[in-house]
Amino acid sequence: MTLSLGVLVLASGALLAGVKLLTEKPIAEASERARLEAFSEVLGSFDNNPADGAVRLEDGTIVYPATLGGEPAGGAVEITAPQGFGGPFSLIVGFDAKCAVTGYKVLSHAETPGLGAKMDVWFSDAERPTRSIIGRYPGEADGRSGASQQASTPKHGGLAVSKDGGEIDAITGATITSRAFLHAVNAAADAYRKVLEDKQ
Amino acid sequence: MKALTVFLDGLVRRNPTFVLILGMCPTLGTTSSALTGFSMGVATLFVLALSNMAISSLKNFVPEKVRIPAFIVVIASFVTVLQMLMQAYLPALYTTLGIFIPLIVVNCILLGRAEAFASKNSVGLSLADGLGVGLGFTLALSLLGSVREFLGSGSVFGLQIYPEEYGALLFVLAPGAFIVLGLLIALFNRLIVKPE
Repeated sequence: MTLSLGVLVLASGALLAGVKLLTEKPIAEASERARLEAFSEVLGSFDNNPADGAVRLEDGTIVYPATLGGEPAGGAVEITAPQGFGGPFSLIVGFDAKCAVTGYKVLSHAETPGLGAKMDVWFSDAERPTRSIIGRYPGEADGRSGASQQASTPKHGGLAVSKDGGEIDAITGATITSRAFLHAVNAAADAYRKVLEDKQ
Repeated sequence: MKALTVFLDGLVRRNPTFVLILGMCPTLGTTSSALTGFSMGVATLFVLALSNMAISSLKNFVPEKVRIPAFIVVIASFVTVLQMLMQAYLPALYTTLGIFIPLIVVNCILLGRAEAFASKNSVGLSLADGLGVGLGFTLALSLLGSVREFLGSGSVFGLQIYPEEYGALLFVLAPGAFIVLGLLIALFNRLIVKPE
């Protein structure tokens, strides 16, 4: 009894080890590819590998500065939103040199399919300006620099859902996810500004 | 011929979702859109076919007393294999289905088919049973997902049919899953299974 179960467990262990060896490289490559794709999706034009100059902050947020012909051309921020509806989720947010959002991509999440999971397209809907965060200037702190400041930016700085007095339409039926998302975008902007200031 | 009967049995007469009402957790959880429902069905089909074959070929090797732990070991191994393969080659789908992939381990359809069928029948028949039940599950989840996505978001498999704003959000949420499932079960049994 013990023997047969033992043999079975050993055999499955061997099978898993084999598959693990086979898939280890493709999994690493897939996540590396996803990261590079994410850079080109969220950033404007750049010609360096943003991962080379990555700055990791204390809270785990990573800032990837982008350059174009040697000049700063914005940057991408990889950040974890701790208070998603289905637990933490991570996203990457792109900013231009003036700290306006150029794009974002959700890297991993456990939000409800059909509700919170819609965040991957919801906040970049070009046809619905009240949903889109593209071109807005997020950030918790009073860092709203740049002359081309949008009039629609909330008074106290930072993006918020309309329910909380902000300008962004929350995902229908997923206010918690929307709040967590916008909070993360604000935090990402702050992290990006901090890294820019430290460099100067 | 027997294999075909077993296959059709699993697909229709003993459809896991509409007739046996098994595996309700992924059925309700992953069918908010047609694509996620279909993907979940295929993932389960893959594990079910393999675990049915493995358990059937091990039936003389595993003593009666430890058969349940042995089944779980086999099923969990195949689920982990599937998880690693998906992560490597279908990372987008892996992200979408998330927690529901590891949860296939505790899907009672798998343990049910192992105990009720695979541990008593030949490898070939067990494969036919696994394919039939797995396909039945896939069809049921795709159908449920399509109806919910159509009523809730106005699209089927991501193809927009009417504007999303007119969709009834209820059907994307959990209550909609129960309502649509109940109606589909009634419809399926009335039209296809037809009790004597």
